[in-house]
Amino acid sequence: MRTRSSLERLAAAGRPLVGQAHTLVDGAEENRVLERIVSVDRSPAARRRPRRLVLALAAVAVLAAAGTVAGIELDHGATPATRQHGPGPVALLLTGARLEMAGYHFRTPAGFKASKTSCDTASSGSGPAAITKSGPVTPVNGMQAAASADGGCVEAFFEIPGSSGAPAPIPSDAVAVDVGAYQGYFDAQGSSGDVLYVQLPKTADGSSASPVYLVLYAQGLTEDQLVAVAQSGLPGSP
Amino acid sequence: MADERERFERIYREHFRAVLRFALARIDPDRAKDVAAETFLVAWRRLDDVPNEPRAWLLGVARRVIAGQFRSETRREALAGRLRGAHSDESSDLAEALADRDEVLAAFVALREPDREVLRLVAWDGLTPADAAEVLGVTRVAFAVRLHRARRRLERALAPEPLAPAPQKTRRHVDAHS
Repeated sequence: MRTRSSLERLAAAGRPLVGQAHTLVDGAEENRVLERIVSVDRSPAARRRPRRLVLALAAVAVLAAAGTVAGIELDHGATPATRQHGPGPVALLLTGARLEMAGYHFRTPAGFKASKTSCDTASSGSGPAAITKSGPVTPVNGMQAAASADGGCVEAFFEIPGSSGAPAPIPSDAVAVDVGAYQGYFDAQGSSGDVLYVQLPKTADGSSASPVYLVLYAQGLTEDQLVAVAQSGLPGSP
Repeated sequence: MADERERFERIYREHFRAVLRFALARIDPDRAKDVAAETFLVAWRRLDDVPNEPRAWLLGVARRVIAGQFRSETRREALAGRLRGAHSDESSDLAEALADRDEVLAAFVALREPDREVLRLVAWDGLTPADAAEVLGVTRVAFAVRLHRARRRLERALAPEPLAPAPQKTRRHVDAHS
């Protein structure tokens, strides 16, 4: 009987592992990935500006969710020093748990699982009120969702500044960033995590005199990832 | 544009599974899917750079994606557990096959990552030495040397330690001159 070489034995040992490729992704998912990729503009101009690629990668479900916030108008101002962001490759990597909140569905990076514990509670036990530097924050209607992964977490909630008595939730040293068609403000808080504020449209029925802010608080995510998470759940056109 | 789309789709259809297998051999399944998707996104953007035989090029991209995003050795080490947990029912003698697999994987995991990568490219990705050299960005000769050394280390790790490693020959030679 011929003795197998060490390489042949190693090949046989690894076969069950790499064989998972046939069951891990079915044909339909393979097609969906293909469609997402080819929807990305690869014109020379777009390649020079990779961070400003199309918003089309946002989930179709988000468009349906937009119905729940119909009748809203955008209230955002341009800031000259606004940082440019776009979904880029990271948008394709948002395969983690979805944060579902008020009809919005925000996708999180791979490896993130839904969590009932807020990031801040996990780290300090003080709850969302301690997240922002500008003062106490009251999540709108208690809407809040969180997900965590090895070494990271992300938490989302909505805020109407007037509801908590704070004049505005945006810290003075936050940096203006583009979140697709929305105005965002990124506040790097160092080791305690980062916060992205996204100014949403006012409600058209006048129920809120102040703009609503989507607040994403994260630990272990880059600024690009945080922006991508926000974009994944917001309608492409306000 | 239609030609580009057609060409990309052909590449994607032919190589998606190979890229996914490549990623699966290195990181966990969730991230492997992401790596495969990102690899082909790079290929789509750089379609003009993709060679006619794109497999090695794609795997090289996938390797860089993995290196850039998943540097944690801990995550790679978690592969050892997954390897042991993955079952195969191809063997007619399952117990013997499992014992052999455990032995080989224990030896494999004990190697240094550069050795493991060289061996993976050949044993699991099924690459020729020339393609594997391209994936690593080294010359064929350099890859051949690395592979040779990695195989020897794997074989040493598989072989039981000799009980009496006394260098008898040298001692006799010295004795003859004394």
